[in-house]
Amino acid sequence: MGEVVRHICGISGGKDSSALAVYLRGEVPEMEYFFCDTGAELPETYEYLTRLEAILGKPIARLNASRGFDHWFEVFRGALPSPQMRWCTKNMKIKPIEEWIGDAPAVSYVAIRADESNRKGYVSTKPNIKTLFPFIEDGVDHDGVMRILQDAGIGLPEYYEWRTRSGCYFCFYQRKAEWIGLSERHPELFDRAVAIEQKVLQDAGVDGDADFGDQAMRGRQYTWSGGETLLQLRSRRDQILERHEASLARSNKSRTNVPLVEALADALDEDDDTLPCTVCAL
Amino acid sequence: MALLSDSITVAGRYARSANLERDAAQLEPLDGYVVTARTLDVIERIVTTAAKGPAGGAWSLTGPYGSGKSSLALLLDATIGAKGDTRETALALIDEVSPEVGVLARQAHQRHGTHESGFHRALVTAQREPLSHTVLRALEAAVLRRYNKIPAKSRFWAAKTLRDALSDMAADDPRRTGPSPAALVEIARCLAEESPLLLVIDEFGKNLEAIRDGGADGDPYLLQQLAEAGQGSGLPIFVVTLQHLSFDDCLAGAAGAQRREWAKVQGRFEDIAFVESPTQTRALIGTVFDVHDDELRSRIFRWAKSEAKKLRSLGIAELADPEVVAACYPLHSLASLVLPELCSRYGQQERTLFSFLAGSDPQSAASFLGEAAIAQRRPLPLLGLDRVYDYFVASGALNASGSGQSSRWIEIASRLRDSYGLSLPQQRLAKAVALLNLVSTSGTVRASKQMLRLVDSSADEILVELEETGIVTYREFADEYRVWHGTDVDIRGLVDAALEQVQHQPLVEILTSVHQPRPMVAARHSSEHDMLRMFSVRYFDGGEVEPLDAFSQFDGEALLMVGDTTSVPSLGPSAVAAKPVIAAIPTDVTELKESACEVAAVLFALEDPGVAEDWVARRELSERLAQSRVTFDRAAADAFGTDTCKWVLLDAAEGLELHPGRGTSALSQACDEVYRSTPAVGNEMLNRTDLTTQGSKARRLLLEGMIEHSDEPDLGFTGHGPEMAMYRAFMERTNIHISRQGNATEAFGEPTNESLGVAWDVMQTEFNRAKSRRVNLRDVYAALLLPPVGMKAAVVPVFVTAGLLASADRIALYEHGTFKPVLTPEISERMVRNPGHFDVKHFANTTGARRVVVDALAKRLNIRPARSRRRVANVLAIVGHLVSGVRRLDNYTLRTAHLSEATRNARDALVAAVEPDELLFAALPEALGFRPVRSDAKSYSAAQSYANTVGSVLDELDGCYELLLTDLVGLLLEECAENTRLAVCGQAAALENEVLDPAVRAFVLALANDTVDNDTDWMRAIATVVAKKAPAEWGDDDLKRFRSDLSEQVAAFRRLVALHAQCRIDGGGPFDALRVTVTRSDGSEDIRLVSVDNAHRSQTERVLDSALTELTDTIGSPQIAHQALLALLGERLLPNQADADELGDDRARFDEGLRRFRYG
Repeated sequence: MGEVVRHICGISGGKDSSALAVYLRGEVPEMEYFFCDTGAELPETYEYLTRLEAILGKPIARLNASRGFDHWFEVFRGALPSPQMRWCTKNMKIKPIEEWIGDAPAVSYVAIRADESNRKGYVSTKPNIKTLFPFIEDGVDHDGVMRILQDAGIGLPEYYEWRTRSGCYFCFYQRKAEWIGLSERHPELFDRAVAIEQKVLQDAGVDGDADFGDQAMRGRQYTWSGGETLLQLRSRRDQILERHEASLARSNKSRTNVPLVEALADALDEDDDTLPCTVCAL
Repeated sequence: MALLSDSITVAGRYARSANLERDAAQLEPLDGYVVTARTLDVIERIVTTAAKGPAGGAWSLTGPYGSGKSSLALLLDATIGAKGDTRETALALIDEVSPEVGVLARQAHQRHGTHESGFHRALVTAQREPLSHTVLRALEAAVLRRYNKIPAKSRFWAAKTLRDALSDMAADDPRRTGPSPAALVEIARCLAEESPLLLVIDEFGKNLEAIRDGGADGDPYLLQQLAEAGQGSGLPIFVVTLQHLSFDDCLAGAAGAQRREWAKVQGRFEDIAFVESPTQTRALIGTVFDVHDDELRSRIFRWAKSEAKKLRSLGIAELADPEVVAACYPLHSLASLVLPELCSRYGQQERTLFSFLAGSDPQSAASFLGEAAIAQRRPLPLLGLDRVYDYFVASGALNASGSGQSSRWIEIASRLRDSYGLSLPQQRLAKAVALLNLVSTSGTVRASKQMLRLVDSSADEILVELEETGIVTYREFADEYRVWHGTDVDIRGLVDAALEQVQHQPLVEILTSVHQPRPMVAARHSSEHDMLRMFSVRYFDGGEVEPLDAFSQFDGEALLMVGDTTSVPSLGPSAVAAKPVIAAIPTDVTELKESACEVAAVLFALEDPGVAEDWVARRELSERLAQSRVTFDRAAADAFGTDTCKWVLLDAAEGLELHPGRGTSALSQACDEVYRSTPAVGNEMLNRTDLTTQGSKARRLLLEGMIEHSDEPDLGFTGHGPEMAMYRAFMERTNIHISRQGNATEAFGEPTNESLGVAWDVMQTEFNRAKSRRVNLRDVYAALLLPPVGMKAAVVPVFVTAGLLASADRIALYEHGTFKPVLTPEISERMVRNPGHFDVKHFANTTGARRVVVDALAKRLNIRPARSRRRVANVLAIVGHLVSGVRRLDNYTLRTAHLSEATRNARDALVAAVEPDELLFAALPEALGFRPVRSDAKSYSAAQSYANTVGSVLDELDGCYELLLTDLVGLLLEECAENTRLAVCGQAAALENEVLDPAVRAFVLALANDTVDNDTDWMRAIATVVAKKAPAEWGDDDLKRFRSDLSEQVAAFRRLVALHAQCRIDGGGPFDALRVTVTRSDGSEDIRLVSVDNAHRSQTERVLDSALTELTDTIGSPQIAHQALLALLGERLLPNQADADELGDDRARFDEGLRRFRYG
């Protein structure tokens, strides 16, 4: 007797993977949904996940829930992740996923849309995993995704109003305007990110903060966002927003009838062409 | 005519370099061998070890090329070899210099019964090859020397291992890894069991190079195992490595981990710097020439007396003794002055020197004797600087390329070579200047006018001539003639000025700025106890001594005392259980100070801006720095050497004086004294301060197994991974963990192993201290790291975790002050890294009223003991249950006020809880309207009632969210005026394919969802669609909003249902219908249901679009065109009578439907 094949669908907290989950809801009854929890997602994301769970009528397995960012921050004694040392992706996404999947044969459904087939998602290299791209196969594009979400009554995650991707609130791939967005939408998370930048974990327990200032890379100022601390960044708020508006306008001029989500992404992409973490933002 | 060679003979040994394999056991290499102080020192160390104890030792000799290391090895080989002429010659040589050492050597033979056969001697010269190959060749050689062939197994039990290893080494098959370290150690043991084994690896640096370049298996453990087999209580195995650079320097450029491993290996060896001082070298020169003509001898002595006087007046103290000058004859006094320096700086030390003295080259000293005529009343023939120059420089006997001073060399050599037309005296003087330039750094040995007058009495005039031809220039600042351009920077002045400044600083500061002493390993103690003990080393000049922190990576500190050397510092009384501090108190630091000042001054001068711009000056200073560092190293070794230095283990009083012994034996003694109760761990990978990556992973798995699989045999491990090895060695062997399958026996507990007993008691004492207040885990760690336990840092978390698990029902754990009901692997991972973030508190078994309450709660909450033999009744089990229960609750339950007052209060108390006992006996009872349970109360009448209430509270909390969903289902069905989900679902399903407003559509689709199994799942999705938020995340406001939103959405839904129903009646089919009301100007109204059949929709749209376009073109404004068309359509819709009747019916049906919707 052959082994039972698992069917799995990863949820990132973004619109595409959520739409795929809804899209496959009736199609693959044995589907297992999973979400790699960093413990540092935006509140909007968590809220959206419970919404999605309710809509799917199935739980979304939270991988990694007990070893989130705060855990690793303590284990690494305040050594912070960066594009050069991306332990976050490795420890909080790839490892937990591969552990959870294990060695049983599995079919993984990945939400790459028909209109972005050149994008790369997390495609496991493990031999026991077969990857399917239902949106590409069925020609579901951006509009299709929006329709699916609308029909399901789930809508978009609220962070799309100010941010283009899911992921940690302090993701170092977020753009300057998005940091300003964080400082205005979630001032408490922004403050937390400021503290982490100084290697302090706020409210680690009843005793208060955990300070690693004299441990990891002592005396070296880490910055989440290139070239400046978050406080310096925030002090340039108006300038950053002005630039952001300008690029938003530029990008709107060249295309008509663009949904806000897209316009925002275009505008933000203008000031930064680093590829973000594809695992997180899938 | 008489020649010098008639009266003087030359000892002939030094013409070639020694080769261990070729020259071993030969008499010839020993002929004329001179035992110098350094040689004697090494021989003494080894024979003392052999004479005094059963075990061997390990030494690493580092010295430059040609310094006589290999010759020393040959002398050693002969000394401990078999009975015979060679040994007798060697012993005679030693006796001549130090009869005591000769006696020790004989005692060594006596002790080991090797008077006849001698030691086994495995001498080998390494190549660039794996270390295992080198060692194997050596061992094979030792076997063959003794037996001439590999003997049978009955005679030599490791014979097969040796044969296998040899065939392994010979095989070309790359899959074979060559002889294993274990096999080699086995062979060595087999040899050593018979007679002591001396293993000498010459050119050991070649092995290290092979390791560094990755071409060879760099297993450092082979050497370590061999060294360890010989040290402490091991077998008589004596390992000696000879190399010209230290291990670390040989490995420069190798990976960090590789270097660390080798540093550890080197720690097992006693380092000996094998460098002769110029004075010793000069003494060697004196032994080469043997004058056997008394008359000549007295002539030489007269000459020497006058020379020595002149030299003294020039401040050259080294040659102020006529004996020394005379011994070096036929060398001119200046030639004997520069030769040692010249050879050590540009050549291969003594090998080069003696090639010159005794070689057959036409320019050599030996040849000089054969050509120099000796006559009465004429000056003695002397071998002058010019001849030295001709031999070393002009003929290219020396090659400066390896010395780092090649540029000066080349400049000087080529200047003199290219100058033509000089007279003989001019040539002679120019060569003298050149040679002095080559060896001078500063100070007295330089080409000054006074010095040159010793070469030629008419030096003054010749110098003027030479200056005119431009061959030499006079450098005023240096008071020196030079044949090279050099620099205009006043290096001497700079260094002198710096010296002046440096000398006023405290010695400890100077030393600290020029030299970072390397940590020392207590070698004997480490190997005896299988526990690497390492001491940090620093210079110290008195004042307060603070012992090392418990968490320091070092096991103690050695203070090199350089201040007031007579007094012993003492520790404060707080340092009772601290890591050991040892003071090394030298008798004399004068030389140390001088050499350190020199280094510091040169370093200082190098920073001068003038020097920075002048590469010649920079280079010269760098050379000088290297020189002065060598001097400094020698001075440091002398100051803190065995005979000249007192070692004291500090305490609160005057300290304990340690036996100095060889190497680090004082440190070992201190460790014996202080680390008395160190448990054996039995696993090298775990028993460390810092783990390797692999070790770290294994420990993580071990901890995870301990926490999650404590009731399984072997903690659930299978196979032979390193975690299993750690488990077996440290947990199973010691009975810290007893695994019995299927029987939930106490898994972790007090070890039966004696060596762990003290450590366990120390930990329990710390836990017991936590009865009155929380104790930080760092304190528990510290108690185990410090003496007398002195556990290695990597072992401590494993041990403490075992302790915590053994007392899980009594010891509460807090992280950052927050109570953690269960120790999980992830908490453990954080604990390993930051023990200071954790506290423990001891909850002794409860008694009296509290016990009654705990028992009642345990019964009501159905809490079973984790382990069968344990009593249930403990605070931590109950609170753990409660807190975990609250952690599982959804946000709605945590926020809502729609709970009974008692449950609300209890919930808030549980969420806010910090202290387990405070929660259980005060906060929770109070929240529920009971009085607190005092710790001293004997009884508590409300125990049962309290327990029941807590039970109901938990039940209410657990059911809260489900209850919400059930209520919502009821509400929805009521709004829809239906009794079952299926009814609503069916109505909605009928609308699924209709074109609907997106907002309504999502609601309808949610109602129609038939993929769920039960009402609550169905409701959860509907509630999420309506509220745009999952109910688990709701607050009470969300619920309120939901109620009103639901009414509206249901109303819309019902209208649609009605519409759909009417359409069906009207003719069926999917619809896209509108209800149009037309109000005329007289106030009368008409309502009509209109629709476009899907089949006709596109056709109709086309017609409409073209009509609108045409009309817009005619009228000019799209808005006016749209309005006009709409108005006309309205007019056209004016019903005739028949239509009106029909419409009236429609309206009546609608109103009826609505009534039913609203009032049921």
